[in-house]
Amino acid sequence: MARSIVITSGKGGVGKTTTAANLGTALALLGKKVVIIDADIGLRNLDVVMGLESRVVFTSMDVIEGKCDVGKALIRDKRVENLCILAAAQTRNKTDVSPEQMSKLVKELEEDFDYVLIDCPAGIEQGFENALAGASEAVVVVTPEVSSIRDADRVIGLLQARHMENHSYILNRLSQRMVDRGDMLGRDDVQDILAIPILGVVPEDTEMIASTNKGTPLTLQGTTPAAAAYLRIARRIEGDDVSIPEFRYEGGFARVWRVMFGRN
Amino acid sequence: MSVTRLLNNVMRWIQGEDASKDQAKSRLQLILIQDRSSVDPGILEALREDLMAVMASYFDVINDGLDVQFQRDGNSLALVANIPIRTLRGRNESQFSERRRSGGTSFDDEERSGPAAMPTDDSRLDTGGKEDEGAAPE
Repeated sequence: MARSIVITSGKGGVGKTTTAANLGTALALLGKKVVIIDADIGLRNLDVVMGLESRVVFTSMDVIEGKCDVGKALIRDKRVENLCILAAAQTRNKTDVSPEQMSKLVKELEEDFDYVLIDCPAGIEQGFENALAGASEAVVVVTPEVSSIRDADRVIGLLQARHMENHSYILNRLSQRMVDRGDMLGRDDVQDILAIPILGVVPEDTEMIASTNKGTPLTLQGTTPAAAAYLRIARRIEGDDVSIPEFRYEGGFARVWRVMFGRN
Repeated sequence: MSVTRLLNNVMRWIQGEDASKDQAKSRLQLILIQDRSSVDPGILEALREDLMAVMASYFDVINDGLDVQFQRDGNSLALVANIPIRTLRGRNESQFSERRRSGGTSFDDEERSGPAAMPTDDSRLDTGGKEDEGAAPE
């Protein structure tokens, strides 16, 4: 039975696309058949983050409008087995798709894949409704900032109003150093506020930007703290009992050690 | 690292300031209570008008002085209304009986036998009329 999971957040720029890309990669590395749909019509980015922008020929819009079949529009990621993405149309609007059409597309993909991840656009308007339409589960990406948490809480309220019971959140870009200094909300603080199950914590990782620059999901490169976190999250989604570690600030020496010897 | 943390805490203690994450948390908790109960400013404004109308039928209140806001007290939320009263005086008895007859708040006649009954002036009657408007929007 395929699972369709929407990656959402409310606020923009908190790492939805990065999360979708890395989680999709991590699940594929676990041997699952994964497709990631970019639901951000008009502002597509998943293809760029994953370094597949040069291979976009058809988009989800072409499939929805019947211009090509879904197999033709899927872009297969050649670096890892069983990973595909479906790009969004760049020159169209979110209002050009209806929730019913989106739902139908997801149902179609569920037949061929184990996981359908849906990268939701920011906001809570039509694009959000479309992204939610086909999904049966939701993962809310939240950073430890006031604005992100507020928006996440709003989105959680909307998910509950739509009876999407299976939802959890990923705390993204946690800097344990700042938490220790008293200048960032910690994991417990965010948990107190959001009060829904936590799926994982992704520590702030400077190498994330470098990986996006290169168009290679960090999870493919292995051992950085964020990559390890995504792999753990993927295993948790799979049902493994993987605990969330306490993150420590990685000082200069520890970092050099890790880079040289590839240890976590 | 723990030394810098200690120094930070000492600095904060000297400045008498909460850690910014604690400020963030308490601000968020307050914001979210409002968000979750979907109390938008428009509703607070409507409530303010309704409260004003009700208060005006008992006391001579200052029209623009009413301040209604949420305040957080530990883990609970309080709705705090600050209502400046110009003069302490009740309304005359006939108006109370009128309210009672029209299905408004009921009063025990014996309670009303005190000396509080005073004639009202025109402006008060005007605010009384606003009460109906205030109850209408929804």
